[in-house]
Amino acid sequence: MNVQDRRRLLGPGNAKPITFEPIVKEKDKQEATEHDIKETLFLRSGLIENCNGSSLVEFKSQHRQTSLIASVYGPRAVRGSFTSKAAISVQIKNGSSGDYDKSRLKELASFLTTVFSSVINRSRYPKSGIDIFIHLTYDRDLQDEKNAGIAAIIPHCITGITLALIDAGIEVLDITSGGHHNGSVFAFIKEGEEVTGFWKDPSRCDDNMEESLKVCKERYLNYKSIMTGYLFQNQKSESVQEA
Amino acid sequence: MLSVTEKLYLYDSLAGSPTVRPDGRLPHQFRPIEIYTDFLPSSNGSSRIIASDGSECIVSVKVKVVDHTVSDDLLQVEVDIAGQRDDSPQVETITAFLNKVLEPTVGIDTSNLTLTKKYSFKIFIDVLVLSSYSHPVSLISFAIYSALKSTYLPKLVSSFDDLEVEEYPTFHDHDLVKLNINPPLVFVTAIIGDNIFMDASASECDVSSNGLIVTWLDGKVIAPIRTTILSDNDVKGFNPQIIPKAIKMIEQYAGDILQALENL
Amino acid sequence: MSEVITVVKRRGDFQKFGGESLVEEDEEGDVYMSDNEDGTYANRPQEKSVANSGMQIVTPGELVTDDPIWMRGHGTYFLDNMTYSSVAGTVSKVNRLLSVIPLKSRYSPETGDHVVGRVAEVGNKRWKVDIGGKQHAVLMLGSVNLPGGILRRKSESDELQMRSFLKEGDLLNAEVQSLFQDGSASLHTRSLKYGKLRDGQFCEVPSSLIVRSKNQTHNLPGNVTVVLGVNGFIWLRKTSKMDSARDAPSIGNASAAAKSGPTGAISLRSADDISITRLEEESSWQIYSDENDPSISNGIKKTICRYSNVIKALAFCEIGITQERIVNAYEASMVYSNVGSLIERDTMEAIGHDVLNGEKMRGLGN
Repeated sequence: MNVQDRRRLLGPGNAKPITFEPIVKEKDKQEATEHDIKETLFLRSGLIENCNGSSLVEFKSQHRQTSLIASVYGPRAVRGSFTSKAAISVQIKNGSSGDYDKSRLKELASFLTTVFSSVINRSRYPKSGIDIFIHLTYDRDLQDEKNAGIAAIIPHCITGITLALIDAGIEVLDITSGGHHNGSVFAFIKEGEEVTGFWKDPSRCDDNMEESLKVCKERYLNYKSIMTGYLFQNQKSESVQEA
Repeated sequence: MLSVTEKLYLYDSLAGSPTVRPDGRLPHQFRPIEIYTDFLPSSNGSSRIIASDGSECIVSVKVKVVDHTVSDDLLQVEVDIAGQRDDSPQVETITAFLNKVLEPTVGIDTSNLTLTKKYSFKIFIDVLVLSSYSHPVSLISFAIYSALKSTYLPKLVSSFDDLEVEEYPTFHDHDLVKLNINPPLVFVTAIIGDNIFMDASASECDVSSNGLIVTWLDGKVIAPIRTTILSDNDVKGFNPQIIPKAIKMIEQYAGDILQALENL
Repeated sequence: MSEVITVVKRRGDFQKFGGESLVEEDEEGDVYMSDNEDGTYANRPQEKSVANSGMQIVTPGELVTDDPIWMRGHGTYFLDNMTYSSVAGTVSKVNRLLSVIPLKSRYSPETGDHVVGRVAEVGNKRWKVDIGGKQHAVLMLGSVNLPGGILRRKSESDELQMRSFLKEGDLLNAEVQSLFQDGSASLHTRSLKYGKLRDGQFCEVPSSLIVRSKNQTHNLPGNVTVVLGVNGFIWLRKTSKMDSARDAPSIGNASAAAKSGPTGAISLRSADDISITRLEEESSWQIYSDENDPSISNGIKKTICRYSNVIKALAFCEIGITQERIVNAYEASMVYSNVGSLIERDTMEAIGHDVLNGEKMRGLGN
């Protein structure tokens, strides 16, 4: 029996088949704590290794479920003539079942570029480029199967990019996020004192701008507190690991 | 590209109160434009618009008979900007935005395009921006407006009810009917400090902290509305109260612009 | 006409392709052709035989002379002992040199020109400056005043901090020091009247419209100074102490400083007497400062806008731009209280007419 098999490459004698631990569903924990709120937002950053910063945003309300991954590459050097500020590019890929027109996604990408042009401290990065990618992994409107309301995902894209930028260590002026209400999206900084982006699509409901502004501001403040909460927690767990 | 001192001087003049624009215009005043219409012999309607800073844009309108029971998408815009690739962000953004503006859900009334119970005219709008020194979308929308207003379509001679008879519509050999359609207009306003400006020139765009693209139809502002950056310099957030202020300014003066375009 | 926008239907050759007027256009074309036959062809040979027959306009490919005695200059080419024009413009004959000066072209620099330019690129020991010519001009680090004494030698640390003197986009006025073999210019700013431009607004006209004069910097009524770059780049600014000091000697010698003229520029001089030499001593980093004079009032800004609009009106009417004409146009524009109305075509034409009529009247009066 002790004849060695020389024809095959074998592993060590004491090898065991690998087993995986059951996946801990962190999402469930988060959901449990915020169960009584209509919307839940799950955040996670730094999950992709080969980029400078990344984040995962999962959103769930009674109307909509959205999940997206944002990744940031940069700041990296750009060739060519001198520029005093970083150039930002945003690209969106749709991996969800939501049927979005390609050109509409491009429009959204350039809108996000405008939002982050005023949020990223671009003058700190002369002659550089910052590339941001968004991968929409899941998106479903629970009420209306057909309606592909692109406006509703904008706030989550903004949240995701902000977290990814923070994860990449890129300087931002403030934590930005936005809210959506009846086809209108407002993106804010400075506790809602300043608007960094406004997007309005035609909606079925009779819309009132003042009201949309108010609702969006509330949502922004809510998302922002979730984001800061997550960042603090993340910081804490990291410092525990280091110790 | 402006020097630092020019930017500071311009910003101080424009963000202050009262404002001084570099060419002395009032905040809501446009620069003069020139329009030719109906000059392309192979199109159903056309227009060429030239702004006083040399920005220039050509629009051609062509129609095709389609079965509207298959698709009720009756207006389609394609934009080409000289010197830019078709898949560049600016071209794609403007195309998507203009298509959104001309969607029936936004407010344009396409009932005049219906020919019979089964067939409709489908309008193809081709935009060519020859040169542009600031955000071209407003100029394009004026050009589209005057092109559609100068569009003549063949006169239908077959019967309206063709659901049973399975025939294609037939048209008169010579007679043309003027197209009656009211497309929305699009305005770009520059936000500088707490002030807003219509039809910002290139240097004004360079010091603007943000921009707002607004759609207008029948005396009121409608969706889609977007913020946009008019130049890559000094982009900043702005006071939320500026949005209603800009909408008010547009609602106040857009009627005059419509009239000027009509009285051509 | 509404106050918000003027929309006009363009009248021009282009419109004539529109069907109905096609016949008319043909007729006009015929008329033009016959004009050409009696007029030009009859006159030209005589003109060519006379060497000095004043202004002669030629088009590309047109025979300028068949006399091989002429040396061929810019804008001409030579085939079988005949000299043809290669541009549309006027014939210039200087001694034996025959050249054609194009009616419209990019600015071609000449030594001694006072130009306004914009820094396009910061390079190795030099700045590339856009002066509206065919090539960018070069401003060497050694041809500028460096902070901390006018006679200081440039050092390595200066090379490393060139962007803190002048960076991309900065406007400056300079003199063309010399020309390179390929026609591009080398500039210098080694005088305090040259250097970075501040406190005002930029405006551009075709370079052919700028009339060269002894001085390209003028103090205008309303406390505004204009730098008329020979290359068609114009800088309008609030009159500074140095600007008024520059004008002062001539006025000061002629009459007492107390007797202040209508310009307002002179009254500044009495306040503090700064000579140019003293300013030179005080030149420091201040000459490259990016800060504007904080005391520019809205009134001065409006005046600057008005000047910029009347200069554009003169350019629109293709009138050569001189100090007197700017002042005359400015005065003619005063009937329009709203500066913004000066951008309208009709208004610009009216101002152009006023200026030309005024000159005619004065010409008759003398």
